[in-house]
Amino acid sequence: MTETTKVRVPQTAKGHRPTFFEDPTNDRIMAMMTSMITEMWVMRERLDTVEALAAKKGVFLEEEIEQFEPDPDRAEERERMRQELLSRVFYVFQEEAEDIARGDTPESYEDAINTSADR
Amino acid sequence: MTPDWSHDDKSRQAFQRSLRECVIRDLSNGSRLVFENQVSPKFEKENGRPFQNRQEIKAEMRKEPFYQAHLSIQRAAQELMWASVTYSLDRQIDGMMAKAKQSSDTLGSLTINPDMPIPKYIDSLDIHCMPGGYTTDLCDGDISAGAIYDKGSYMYGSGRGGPYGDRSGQSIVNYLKREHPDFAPKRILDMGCATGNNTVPFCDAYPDADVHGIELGAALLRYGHARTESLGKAIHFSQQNAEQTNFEDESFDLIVSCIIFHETSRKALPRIIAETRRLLKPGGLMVHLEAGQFENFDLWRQTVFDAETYNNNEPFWSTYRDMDLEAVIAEAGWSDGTAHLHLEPFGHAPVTSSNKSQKNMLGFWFMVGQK
Ligand SMILES: C[S@@+](CC[C@H](N)C(=O)[O-])C[C@H]1O[C@@H](n2cnc3c(N)ncnc32)[C@H](O)[C@@H]1O
Repeated sequence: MTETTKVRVPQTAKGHRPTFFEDPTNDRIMAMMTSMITEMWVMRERLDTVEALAAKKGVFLEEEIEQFEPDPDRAEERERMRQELLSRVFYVFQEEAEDIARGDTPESYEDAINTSADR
Repeated sequence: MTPDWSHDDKSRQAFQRSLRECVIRDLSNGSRLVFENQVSPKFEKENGRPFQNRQEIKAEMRKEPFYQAHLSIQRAAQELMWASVTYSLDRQIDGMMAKAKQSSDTLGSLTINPDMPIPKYIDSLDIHCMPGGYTTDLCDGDISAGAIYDKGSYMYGSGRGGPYGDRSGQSIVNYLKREHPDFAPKRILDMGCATGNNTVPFCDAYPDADVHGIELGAALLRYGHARTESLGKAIHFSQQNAEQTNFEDESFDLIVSCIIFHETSRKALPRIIAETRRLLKPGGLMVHLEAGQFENFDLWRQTVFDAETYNNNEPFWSTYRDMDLEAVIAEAGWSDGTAHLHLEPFGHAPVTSSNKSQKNMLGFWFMVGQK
């Protein structure tokens, strides 16, 4: 098959893309950040594979990377690493959620500042 | 015909799953806190009454920056989930199509009808944001929608569909074996079968039966046919609209569907239930499986589900969830007592009348009927 007749698998969905912030630029930044963190993980995992293979053999071939399947322990460790990476990048929501759970507000913060000096 | 995922594809797909768990769990929990601890008390104070419906909640919540970020990231995660599949399929689709064409069809069969009109409700938007939707047919022999759906729906359910993506079909089988242990259908039809993942359990449960699957999307069917043959199962796939099929009156003992109702329309849904009735032999059974109606959930859950309609290309989802299904059943010709709704909870929790009326129970809702 020549390049011109190659079937192109659809990459986007029909339907207007919704945005949620007053300024849609923020939605774009969120989308790029979410994609970026994915790509960062892809790199990190590849490196992990390289390290695992290097440790095992001292030398390695590229197809060994392609064929590498993590053993159950390493697979579990990777899941833990992914969760950690996610909580680091999305830490700000954790912070906000905990503020809400504690009942912390800008007013309570202001109040703490104003009163603690006299305590 | 199965795609070769590279090392990086696999990382990307595993990561999307972790991201979904994170988005769905942490951001949803956060939004619930914003709702319960802030937005809800404030609304009550200002209006002297609690929220009365999900529309009111939505209007207030959409002003909250936390909820805005939650929905924005959730949308991006949905798109990136598909992207972790489609980019890579684009590289290998030609080879996969060639292999699918070679697949033998010694067991089942495949009938494509290029003249079948595609109903508007299925292709006005790409449902679930799946690129190309169910019905895109790129060329003769195209299987891409099937390949995208097979992998994507597995990821979408965070793997809960099981390695063969057949959990829904399996739950209908479990129900039938429990409630109708002597039932031995000879002809079975699965309406809206997509790639047939949830049709396969019927081949295993009733090995003597002829199993048929109908679906609107040609590329889903071609992929499903090749996949089913490779699993060594016999399914007769045909491209047909479940509203009006070319099967004869009273030609099936069992008719099922898995989560197709909410992707149809106000007009199509009663027609599908009436068509089910026409096709069933006297004494035959229907079991249509769906997600719960709004009335089964509290207002906050309703708000979360409703967001799917607007943010995940599910045009009929909310309308469906508000419909009076009992009335639809009656209008479609099922007289009193011959059909009803039944909750089959996830896992093996027994159904009791008390948990059935409990809000927020997670499970499959069956529309069951005997002709
Ligand atoms: C969410 S998918 C579920 C597919 C499959 N039953 C499964 O469990 O994986 C809904 C499917 O129903 C199909 N569908 C919707 N309306 C239909 C109709 N009127 N006739 C046939 N198929 C239909 C769609 O094309 C889509 O493949």
